[in-house]
This record gives sequence, C-alpha cells and structure tokens, in this order.
Amino acid sequence: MSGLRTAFAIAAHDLAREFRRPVAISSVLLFGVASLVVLRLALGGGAKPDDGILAGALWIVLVFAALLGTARAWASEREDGVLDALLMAPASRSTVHLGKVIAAAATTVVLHAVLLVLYLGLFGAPPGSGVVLLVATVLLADVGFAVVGVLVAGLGMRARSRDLLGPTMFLPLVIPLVIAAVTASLSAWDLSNDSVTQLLIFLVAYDATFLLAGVAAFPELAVE
Amino acid sequence: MQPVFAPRTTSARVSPRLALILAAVLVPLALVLAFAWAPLDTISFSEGDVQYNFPQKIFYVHVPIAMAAYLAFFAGAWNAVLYLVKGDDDYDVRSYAGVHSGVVLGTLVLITGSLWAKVSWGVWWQWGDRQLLVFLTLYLFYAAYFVLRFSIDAGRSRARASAIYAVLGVALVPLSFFAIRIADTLIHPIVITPAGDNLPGAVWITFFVSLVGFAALAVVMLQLEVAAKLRHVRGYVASDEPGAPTIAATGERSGAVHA
Repeated sequence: MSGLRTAFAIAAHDLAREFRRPVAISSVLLFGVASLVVLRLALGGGAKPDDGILAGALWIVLVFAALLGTARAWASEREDGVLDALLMAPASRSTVHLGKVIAAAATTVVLHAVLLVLYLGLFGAPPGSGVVLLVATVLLADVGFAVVGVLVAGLGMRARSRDLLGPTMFLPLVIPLVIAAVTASLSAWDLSNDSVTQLLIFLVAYDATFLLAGVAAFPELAVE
Repeated sequence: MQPVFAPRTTSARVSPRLALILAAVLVPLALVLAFAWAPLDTISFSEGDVQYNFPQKIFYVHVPIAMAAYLAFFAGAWNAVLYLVKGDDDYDVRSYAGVHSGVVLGTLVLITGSLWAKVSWGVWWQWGDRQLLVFLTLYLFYAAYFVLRFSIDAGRSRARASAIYAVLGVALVPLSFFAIRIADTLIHPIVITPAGDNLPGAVWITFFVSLVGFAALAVVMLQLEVAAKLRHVRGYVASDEPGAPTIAATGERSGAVHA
C-alpha cells in the first residue's frame, strides 16, 4: 500500500513539474492539433471523409501524440542529471516505474481529451452512444500507450539516438492495441459487428500485460 | 585457474553435427520431393477443389521457413530468459543469435509469402491473412531489437535491455493473435485451403521433410553464429597483454563483440 502511495507521489511530482513549465506537453498538443488540421484537409478537403477513414484518422494522431509524449518519461531526470539519484531513492524500482506510468497515463489522457474534443469538432461525432464507446476506448488505449511508452523509454534509458529508438520499438508493440482500438472505434460509427465487450476486455488485458512486464522488468533495467 | 571462457555444458542443446547432417540432407531432399513427387494437378475434396499448380510449390519452402523463424525467435527469447536468470554472458550472445537468425529467416518468409500471394491472389500482400499479420508484427518487433542493441554501449546494461526486449516478444505473439482474431471487421479472414486435414500423403511427407530440414538449418545458422561470436570474444581476450584487464574481469565480456 505504501508502495502505491509512493508511486502516486512520484507521479504527482512529475505532473506538477510538467504542468509548471508545460513546454513538452504544449509541444505535443500543438503537434496533435496541427496533425488533425492537416489530416482533415488531406483526407476530405471541403467534403466530409468516409466514416471508416474518420476512425483511422483519429488513431493516427492519437498514436503519434502518445509516442511523442511518453518518450519523455525519463527525459527530465536525465537532463538534470538526477536519474541515478531517483533510482537510489528509498523506494523499489518497480514503484518508481509505476509512478512514471501513472504520470504518463495522466498526461496522455489530458492530451488525448483535448485532441478528441477538437477531432469531434473538425470531423464530426459518431451517432448515438458512439461517443461514450469512443471515449472508453481512448481511455483504455491511453493506459496502454503509457504503459508501453514508459517501458520503451526505460529500455532506451541508457541508449544513444533515443529519439529514433523510441518509435522503432513503440510502434510494433502497439499494433495489437491499435487493431483493437480502431475496430472498437468503427463500432462507435456502427461500422463493425465485432463484440465491443471483447474488444474492451482485450484492451484491459493488453494494458495489464505490459504493466506487469514493465514492473517486473524495470528493476533489471535500472541496474548499472 | 579456470579458463576464462571454459565451455559450458548444457543439457538441452542440439548436437551441431546432427543438425548439420539433417539440414544438408533434408533441405535438398525436400526441394527434390516438392518438384519431382508432390502432386501437380487439381484434387477434389468434399470441401472443394485444391489446385496443386506450380506456384503452390512455394508452400513447401515458405511455411517451413516461417516455422524455423518462429523457432529462432523462441530460441532468442528463451536464451534471454536464461540470461536474466543466470547472468551468464553466453546466453546474451545466444539470444542475439536467435533473434538475428529469426530476422534473416523472417525476411525470407516475407519475400516468399509475397511471391505466393502475388501468383495466388494477384496481390503482393494479403491483409486478410491472420498468420501473415501476426508474423509481420513479430518481424517488425524483432527487427527493432538491433536498433536497441546497437544504441547502447557494450556491457551489462545492453545485455539486460536486449534480453528484456527479446522476452517481450513472447507477450506480443498471443496479444497480436487475439487482437487480429477479434477484429474481423478490420481484418477480413480468408480461407487458404478448404482441404483441411485431407491433404494427400505426398504433400504431407514433402512438407514434413522440408519442415525438419529448415528447422535443422535454423539450428545450424544459430550455432554457427554463436560459435563465431564466442570465438571472437575468446580471441579478443587471448590477444590481451599479460596483466591487462580482460573483458571478463571488467564484467563486459559480451560487450567486446559486435553482437
């Protein structure tokens, strides 16, 4: 229990630091907004694109925004030279990793919430209760993006060319997540007959798998 | 004093000579059987007709290579687990060799698969084939292994990061499989053959010979690469000046090789 409290304390510290000088988050947000505008123009121009294309456009922006956002999970510690100090803190390394995941998930949810609202304005909302399904899918996917993003950032913690390394590892790992999330989004537009419950359960299972993998692996990664 | 690179004994290792003999005999034999013996006509089954035309012969190469690639990826992941448990640098080299062999074989799988798709379906890639998609995901994932590995300075940090990454592939396979399975709208499943288990004996036998042959070839590739890497490390240490710190002494043994 105290481990969970410590993880939340680490996350709160990271979030406070991020929102005090929101350079990174505003950069990612601007990237997402610009991407949505470019996609809207590229896909439809004056006309509204097909609903199937709409669901895909959303996930293109969300995946890349999450990739950029989570890649900086360890950046502030590294830039300030306090990475080893954090790792030597009187908390288990799994707890430190969990704290980073919570912070990354919260940041991703905030980012994606803004982008989703803008998306619904630019591209139009799905009919009926589709919006609720869309929001639930984005929330579950955000946890997955955060979990995988922090794990990938941890793997590349001591690597050169981290900026190139992140996407190379992140994208193959999120392919199953994107498949399930896009299919659930198609259901939001009544374009899919697949079981929404199965898709959402899959997203939870995906999140749990990589969360456990990260918590188990990070103590090994952090050893110098 | 114990030699720095004393060979380790392991119980679950395939004899290099046996693997070499199997590969040298069975791979050419499989090719002969595929082209000289396997059927070359249309056979009717209760489920429908199957055309055993000339392009179909790529099946005897494509599928066994795919299975050999999975075997190599599994060897990479398994040795990564052993590295994380035992901390022995040999396992790091073996894990690297497994992933490397898997990616080499995987490239062949994608090339032969594309050729087969082009002649069978008229397209270079069939997005509705679940097996292809799972394989492509795994291939992209393990291809990134090398970017990670060569971005970290040689030593234990690199070996640990590489091992953890290699093990993640074990989680990725079932997750990809289930995602593709439940997303029928996105990935329309296609049926490759209606014949199921009723394939003619000549097809099964040729396929089985090819399967064992290519599996043995994967083992040979893996063993050759491991032997070359470890020889390189041993040569590095042997050439050190007397009294100079060896790689093993600094705990950076695997770091000396390019693996």
